[in-house]
Amino acid sequence: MSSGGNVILEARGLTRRYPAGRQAETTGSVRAVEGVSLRIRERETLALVGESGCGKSTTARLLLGLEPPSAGEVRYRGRELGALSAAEMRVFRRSVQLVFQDPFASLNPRLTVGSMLAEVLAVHELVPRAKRPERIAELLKLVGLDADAANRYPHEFSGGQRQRIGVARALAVEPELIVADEPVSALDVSIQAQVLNLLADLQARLGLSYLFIAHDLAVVRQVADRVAVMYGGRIVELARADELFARPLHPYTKALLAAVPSLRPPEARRRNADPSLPEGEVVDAPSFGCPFYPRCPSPAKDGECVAALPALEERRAGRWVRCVKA
Amino acid sequence: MSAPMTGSRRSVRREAWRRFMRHRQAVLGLLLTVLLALTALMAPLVAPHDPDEQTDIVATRYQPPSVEHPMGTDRFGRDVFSRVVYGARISLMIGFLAVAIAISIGTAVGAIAGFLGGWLDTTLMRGVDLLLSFPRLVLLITLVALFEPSIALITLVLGLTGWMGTSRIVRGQVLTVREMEYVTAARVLGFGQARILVRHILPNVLTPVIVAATLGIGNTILAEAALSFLGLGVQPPTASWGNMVASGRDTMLNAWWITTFPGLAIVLTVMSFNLVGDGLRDALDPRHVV
Repeated sequence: MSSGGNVILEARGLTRRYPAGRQAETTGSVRAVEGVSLRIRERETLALVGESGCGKSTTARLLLGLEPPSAGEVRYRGRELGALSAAEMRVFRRSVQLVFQDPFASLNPRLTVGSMLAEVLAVHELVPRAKRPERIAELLKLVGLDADAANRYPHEFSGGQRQRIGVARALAVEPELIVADEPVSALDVSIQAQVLNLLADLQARLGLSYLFIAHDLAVVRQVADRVAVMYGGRIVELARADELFARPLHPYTKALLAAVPSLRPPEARRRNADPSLPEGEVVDAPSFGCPFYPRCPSPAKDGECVAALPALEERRAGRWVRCVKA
Repeated sequence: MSAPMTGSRRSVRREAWRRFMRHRQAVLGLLLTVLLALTALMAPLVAPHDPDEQTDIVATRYQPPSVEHPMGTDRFGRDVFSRVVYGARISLMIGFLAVAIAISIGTAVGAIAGFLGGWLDTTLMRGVDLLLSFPRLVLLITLVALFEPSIALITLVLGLTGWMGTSRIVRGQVLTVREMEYVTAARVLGFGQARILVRHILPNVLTPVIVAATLGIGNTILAEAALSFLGLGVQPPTASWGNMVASGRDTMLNAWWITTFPGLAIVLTVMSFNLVGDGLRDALDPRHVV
C-alpha cells in the first residue's frame, strides 16, 4: 500500500460473523465483515465507503476493540489489541477516539458540556483539577465554541454545535487517530462543510489521522487521502483518492460514483460509470463467488465471477481491486 | 455557528411541570398528597384529642360524629378523627420507607442484570419471575408470621416484597440506554464499568423509576392496611388505618363511622398517589400522553 508515516492501526484479515438465528443450520452465520485488511498511517485520512449494511460500522467497532473479531486481528502500533495489558489498553483508549454520526444520541443528556469534558480529563488524569476549566475552555475554542458552552446541556445546542462538542470530547484525550463514523451525514449540507473544515483544520494543527466512514462520495472526495470501498463485508477496491475518483476500477465503485449528484452534463458523468445502476440489496450477496455478482451490470461471460471469490489484487502500487474483469 | 438556542434544562423541567399542571386529576392528587403529608407532620396540632386517650369508656364509646368528635368515637371512647390523623403518620412513614427500600433493591438488581447480562441476568430475572409468581399478600403473611410484628419489620418486609416490578423496569431501561452512543463514547474513552453504569446509564433511567415509586407508595399503603387489618401489621393500641377498620368490623352496622373514616382515608390516599403517579408519567414522558 502507499508509503507514508508509521502505521497507527492495522486490520489483518478482520472478520466478524453473527449467529444467524434459526437459519444458522443452513447459512451458518451472517458475515458482517470478512477478511478486511487495512492500515491507517500517521497524519493520513483513510475513507471507508459503501452502502448501509456493507460492514463499515462493524469494521469501526472492531478496530476500536468494542467487540472481538471472529477471526483476524487488530494491531495498534504493531501490538495485537487482545494482547494489550490494562495499562497499554489505557494508552490505546487515549490514542484512538470515535466521533459519531448522530449528534443527538452521542452526548449524555444529563451532563453539562463542562462536566462531560472534565470527567475525561479526570479519568485519564490529564490535567490537575485547578487547571481543568482552563483546558476545557481551550478544547471548546479548538472546535469553534465559546467557553461558556461548558455550562450548558447538550440539548441547548444545534446539531452542528453538538457535533463540535463530540469532537471536543474526542480531542480531550489528545488522540492520534479519530474514527469518524458518518460524522456529517446527519447534518444539514451547509453545516456539513463547516464540520468538514473543522476536521481538516484540526488535522493540520494537531497532526491527526482519520478513519473517515461515509456513504457519500462527495464528502469523501473533500477529505480523503486514500479510499477503501466496501461491499458485502469485503473491501472491493482500495486506492489513492485522486486515482479512485479519476479512474474507478471496480463496477461497484463506478456505480457509487455515478450516483454522486453532479453539475456536469450527463454525458460527462457517464464517461466513468456504467449507466445501469445496480439494484437489489447487499444481503443478497452469495456465499461463494464475487459478492457483487448478483448486482453487477457487466459480469464476465465465462462464469468466472461465480466460480470463486476474486482476490483483492494489487494492480499498481497502492491500487487494489477485487474484480476479475477490472 | 450562531444557531438559535433551544431552551435550557430548566425550561425542560418547566415544560414537564406545565404538562403535569394541565393534568387536572394529577393536580388534585398532588394537593391531597400535600395536605396528607402536612396532616401527618403536624398531627399533634391537627388532632383535637390524644389518639390513645381513654376516659370514661362507658360514657364516651360509640358516639356518632359530632362537633366534639368529627368522626365519632370507637368502642374505647377514643376520638376516631385523631386516630385517623395519627394513622396517616404510620401509613405514610411505612409507605415511603418501604418504597425506598424496594426502589433501592429493584434498581440495583435491574441495573446489574441489564448491564452485565449473561447468566447473571438470566438468574436474577428468573428469580424475579419466581418471586412474582407468589401473591404478594401470601409472601407478606409468611414473612411477618415468622417474627414478632413491629413497624420496622412491616416496613422491611413490604420493601423486600415490593422491588420486583422496579427491577424489571430498570433492567429494560438499562438494556436500551447501554446501547446509546454516549455509552459507547464512554467505553471508547476508557471509562470503567462502574463509572459507566452509575454516571452514564442510571441517571438516564430514573424517570420511569420515579413514576413507579409514586405508584408504589399507594400500593404499599394498601398492603400495610391489609396486613394491619389481618392483625399482622401495626399492633393496637397504635393507630393504623388497617387495624382501625378491623376494630370496627363487628359493629359496622351500629357504628359505621369507626370503619368508614379510616377506610375513606385509605381510599383517598392510595388514589392520590396513583393520580400523582399517572400525572408524572404523562408529564415526564411525552410519548405516553393518552
